[in-house]
Amino acid sequence: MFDAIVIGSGMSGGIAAKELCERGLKVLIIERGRKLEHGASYTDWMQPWDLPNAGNIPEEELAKDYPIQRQCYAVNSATKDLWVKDSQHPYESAEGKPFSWIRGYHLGGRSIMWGRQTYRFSEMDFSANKRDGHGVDWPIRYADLAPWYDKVETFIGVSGAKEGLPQLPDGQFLPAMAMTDTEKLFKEAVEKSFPGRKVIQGRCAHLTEPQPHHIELGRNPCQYRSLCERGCSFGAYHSSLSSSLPAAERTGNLTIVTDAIAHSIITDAKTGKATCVRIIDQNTKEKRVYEARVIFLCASTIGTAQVLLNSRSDAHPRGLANGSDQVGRNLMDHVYGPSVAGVMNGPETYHRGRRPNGIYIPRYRNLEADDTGYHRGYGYQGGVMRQGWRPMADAQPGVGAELKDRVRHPGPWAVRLSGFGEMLPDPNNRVTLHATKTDEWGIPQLTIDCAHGENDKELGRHMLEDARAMLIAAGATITAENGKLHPPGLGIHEMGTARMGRDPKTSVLNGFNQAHEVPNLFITDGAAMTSSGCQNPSLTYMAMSARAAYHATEWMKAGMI
Amino acid sequence: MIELDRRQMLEGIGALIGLAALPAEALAAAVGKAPSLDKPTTALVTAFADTLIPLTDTPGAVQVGVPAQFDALMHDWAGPARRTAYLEALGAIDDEAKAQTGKPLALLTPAQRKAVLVPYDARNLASDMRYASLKDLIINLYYLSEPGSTVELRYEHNPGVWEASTPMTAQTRAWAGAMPAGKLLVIA
Repeated sequence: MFDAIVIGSGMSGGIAAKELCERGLKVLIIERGRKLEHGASYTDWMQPWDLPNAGNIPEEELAKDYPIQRQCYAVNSATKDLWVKDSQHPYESAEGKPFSWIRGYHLGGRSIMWGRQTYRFSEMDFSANKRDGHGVDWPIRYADLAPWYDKVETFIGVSGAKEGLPQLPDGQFLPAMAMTDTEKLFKEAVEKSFPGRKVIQGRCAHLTEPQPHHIELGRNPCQYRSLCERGCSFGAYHSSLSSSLPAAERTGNLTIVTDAIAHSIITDAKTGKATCVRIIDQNTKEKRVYEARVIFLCASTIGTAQVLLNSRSDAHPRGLANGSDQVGRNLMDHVYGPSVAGVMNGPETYHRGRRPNGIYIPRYRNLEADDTGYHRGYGYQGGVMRQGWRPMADAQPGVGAELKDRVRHPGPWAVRLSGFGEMLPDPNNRVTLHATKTDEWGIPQLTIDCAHGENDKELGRHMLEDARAMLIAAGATITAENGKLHPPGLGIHEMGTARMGRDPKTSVLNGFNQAHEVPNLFITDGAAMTSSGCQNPSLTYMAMSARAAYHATEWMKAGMI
Repeated sequence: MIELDRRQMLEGIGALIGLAALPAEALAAAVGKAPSLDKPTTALVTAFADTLIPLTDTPGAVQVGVPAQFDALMHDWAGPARRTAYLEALGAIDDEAKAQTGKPLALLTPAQRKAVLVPYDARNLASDMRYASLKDLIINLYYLSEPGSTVELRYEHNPGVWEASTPMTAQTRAWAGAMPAGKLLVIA
């Protein structure tokens, strides 16, 4: 019997476990994937000439085992083992509605391969549903989460600069990484041509200047290698393996069980409380049950919905905590795809090191009110760096000594912007259990039925237009662009399948991430998100995890749950 | 007359040495692996790679073992469609050499090979994806190699710093490191 079980060891589960352990609870983490060791399991030692097949995964293997995962930019021969085999973990997309579910099943989950961009949601984001009537109102506001953002940022370490923008609140920052000379020019041109727009240094979960509490955990400063998605032996970016799990383990209160796939959560019909988690060992297929007084479900947005839907009982015929029929619904991902690239003039300077971060343009549309003809907004990630050797070699004809000479010199300043837009919550975008198909562990497979709506598509069009206009304003020549939306899922910011809300009839969780119908069940991963904002969401999951862990512990002490 | 003969002979020997010695040298890098390509194809890949990235003040593609790596990739990485596409792309280059000179690319002198390949590259790079992809692979193998990364370009595995503005002169070398193909974004 544990005090708490945390299902999932990724971004949210790692922080939930740390907070619960530090508050004195005996905690069990259940992780469906294999164990990874911080450092030893990483491939960041590989130099360019060490990359298997020059970075390429064998094509037949790629087609057979990774038809979905391969769409992700970070999938290559050095990171291959960090992605699930689609062939082993199948799901169905509804006819004509592709959904790209990008996953990593191992200790630490996607916190090992995440993009590390770290932003707060704002008052505007927590009020968005109420303002335009899409989705239900968030039961919390910015002030509820602000102290928890502070706490999590301080713990994980976030590099960034204070900007004083209401739509992108400042936080507890380590020193920002500097802009290149031409990023400064780009910033100046955009801000001059488009009042209200800001080009800022990206905020990322990297230790630019480790603090004593980071060093205590064995974490080191960022080495500017940009090999991050292979895992970082320096522990320079926050992941469960480098940061939250070591913090949890040193309390002496943590037990980790890997290779344990959460099948379902069992509840007591008399008390209505969750009592245990049923798991299946992924290797032996042995079934076991773990008991606890409180359960945190952090299996990632879609995985969490699967566990809930598969936890059917007489008291919960539609799945656990699903009296509202909202479990699995309102699936969102950021509107992603529209991108523009170009070349622009800048000073005769260069840069040294590989900055694992870029510039960011916070949302500037519909800030005070909807004045554009569509709802919500979008931001951009980007950068202005000297063109690298590969595009320098490939972009134009060239043979022999002339080709070598061209590639030998740093290229022109290359500018790129990629948009991230807010997707509206829509109950028809949902995941359900397949009626007949199961996976190799006998768990029902998922069907994902999700597509962009008209507002989402409209955002995509404006994202492209605005990006073009900003490059042109900076004097850039556009060399390439993509106007198509990627399939939802590929933004790898899935959210919404067990949303928070004020009314148990229309939402799954209350304002403390506590299931309306199961008082000792908390869900603090992306599933809890009532709307999606346009910011990278991991920080918000972590802040919700820390906050919910605090309340759960206090309520347990008070005998309330 | 004698002088001319001697030069011709040297050119001929050079070509012969290139054919006989370079693939063996290159293939030596692929430890324990039998070549997957036949000898004429290996000679053709070697000639193409050597023309594309020759020995200058720094090693060229052949010196760093690109042909052997190409051979290994055709075996370990490429699926049937890609393998066929690359073999066709190589065949088309060889056809061009034969049409212009009456000889396969591998039997031409470096200068003759370059004279064939420069206009061929200019005509086909944008229009023939098989050729562009083949060329990108050869280039990628070269610049990912240790000499390509550290002798031709510069590489620091652990820079330890981010210097956002450093001086640049005509002598400044570009940084190496793995990176995605150039055509990241497609006009669509």
